[in-house]
Amino acid sequence: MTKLLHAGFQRLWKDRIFWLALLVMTVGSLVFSYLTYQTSLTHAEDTIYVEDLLFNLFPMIGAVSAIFISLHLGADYDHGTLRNKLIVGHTRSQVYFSNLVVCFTASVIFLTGMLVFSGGAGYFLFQTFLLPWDQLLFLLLCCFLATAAFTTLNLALSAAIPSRAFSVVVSIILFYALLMGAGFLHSALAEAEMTYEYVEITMNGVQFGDMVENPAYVDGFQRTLYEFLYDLLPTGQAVSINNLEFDRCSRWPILSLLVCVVTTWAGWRKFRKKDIK
Amino acid sequence: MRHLLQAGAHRLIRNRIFWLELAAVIFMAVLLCLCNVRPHSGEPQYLDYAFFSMTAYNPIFYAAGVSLLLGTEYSYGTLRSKLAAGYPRAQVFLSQISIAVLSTVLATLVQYAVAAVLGTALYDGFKVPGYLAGMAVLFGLLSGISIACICGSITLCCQHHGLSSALSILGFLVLLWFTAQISGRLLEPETIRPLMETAIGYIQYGEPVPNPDYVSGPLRSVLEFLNDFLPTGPICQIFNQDFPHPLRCAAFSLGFIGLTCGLGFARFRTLDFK
Repeated sequence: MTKLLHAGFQRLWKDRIFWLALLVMTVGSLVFSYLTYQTSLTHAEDTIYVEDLLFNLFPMIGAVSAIFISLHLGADYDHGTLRNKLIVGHTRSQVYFSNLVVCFTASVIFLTGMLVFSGGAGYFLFQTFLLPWDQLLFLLLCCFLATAAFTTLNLALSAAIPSRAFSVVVSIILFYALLMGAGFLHSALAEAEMTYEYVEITMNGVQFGDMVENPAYVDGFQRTLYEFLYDLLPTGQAVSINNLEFDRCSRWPILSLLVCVVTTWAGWRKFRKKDIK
Repeated sequence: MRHLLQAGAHRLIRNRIFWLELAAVIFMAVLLCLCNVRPHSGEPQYLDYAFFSMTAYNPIFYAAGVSLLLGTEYSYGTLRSKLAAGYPRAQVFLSQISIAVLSTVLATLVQYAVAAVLGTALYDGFKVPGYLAGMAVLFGLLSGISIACICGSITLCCQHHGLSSALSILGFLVLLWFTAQISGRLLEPETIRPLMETAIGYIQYGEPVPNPDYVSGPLRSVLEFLNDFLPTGPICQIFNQDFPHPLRCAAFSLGFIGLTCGLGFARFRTLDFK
């Protein structure tokens, strides 16, 4: 296991995709920070906090880790490295978990790069924090756990799909689908309980009708289920953190850990029985 | 050329990736149609949102389909065999791009056909005029062809199959995000009327004030050009149901297709095939 880890990290530092992904996350953070700063200049009445910039690129960590992991692991399949590792006597579990450690380290480096650059830019430009330090630290922990969930999910996929190109496509489309799913759940949960019967826009102003029950409002068991699914999805947590919505944040670490355990177990089981050519 | 096209079309209909792409666009069309209908609301249900948003969600499958479909030409060595059999590079490139375009056009038509069938059953037609729906289909096809040309050119110029797939899909997503930002800025009104006075059940507009987000001058011209020129521009225009320059947009799309294919071929012609 130590040798596998050593070799894995040696390969990681020499991987051009890794450095490119890190560059995208850091430069992207600075660009988004600058765009937020530009917006704040034209909207002087809005208060911008450091946290508005700190998590501005957080949902992208899923896409970046999906691309990196599928390309990095796909090379193991393509170049026959995986088969060689097994032939020299390493067990499949050792190979899988060493890859997990290497990929998780890479994802954490992407996240740290993003946080350092966007947080630094945020502090330099705005200097005001919205949250107290303990809550901020808790959110950073949530970010690391959500990143771990993205990593285990992408690793399970990449380990199960031997074709590098197909694994890249499936990983990105899965991320896109999870993001769309989180967006759907978010808009369903954001519907107000009561709404105006009608809203009439005239030349002079807006005329509102009586307040009535909103038929699109989700309640009861369906609401509990939607909230659970939204918090379970790493993309849901990422969107919530990005929007600075922390209503149910206390359960995020548990749910992220649950995703990590389930996806790692499923990926490892699939990989253990895989016919590696 | 005819043989290459025939072989390509034959391979296309047997390719699992192509059928997966079709299944994905059908699934999305059905999902969007079903998710946006509210049968018990008592109001007329219009197909507009489901129909127009489909054009924004589905092109990712075209990008994935084209990159996977053409990428195997390198990994299986088919490309080298075609050249070794005496076909010129121009014919090989054009035939591959034609197959990519064919797969995308078929997927686009299927998605609209599914929406039309489901829409007739579930909705009360379109709220927008019929010509706007027709333009959405036309621009959907044009942007689909542009995406097929870009992704086809990337895949044919990049011998690394995984990297070309990642570049194609990411390139599309980045372009979509970029044009969505541009469209949003262009849709900002020049002046806004803040809501000032509040009475019971009534809010009055105040005096119009300049909108700080409104883009004017040369920057507006540049953004309008990009919004019409980039292949994801028509997608955003369809999504917003707003076609300010339809003819210019169509001409730019055709120009973009020519430019992408030209650049792609210029690179493909000088590639060293291993």
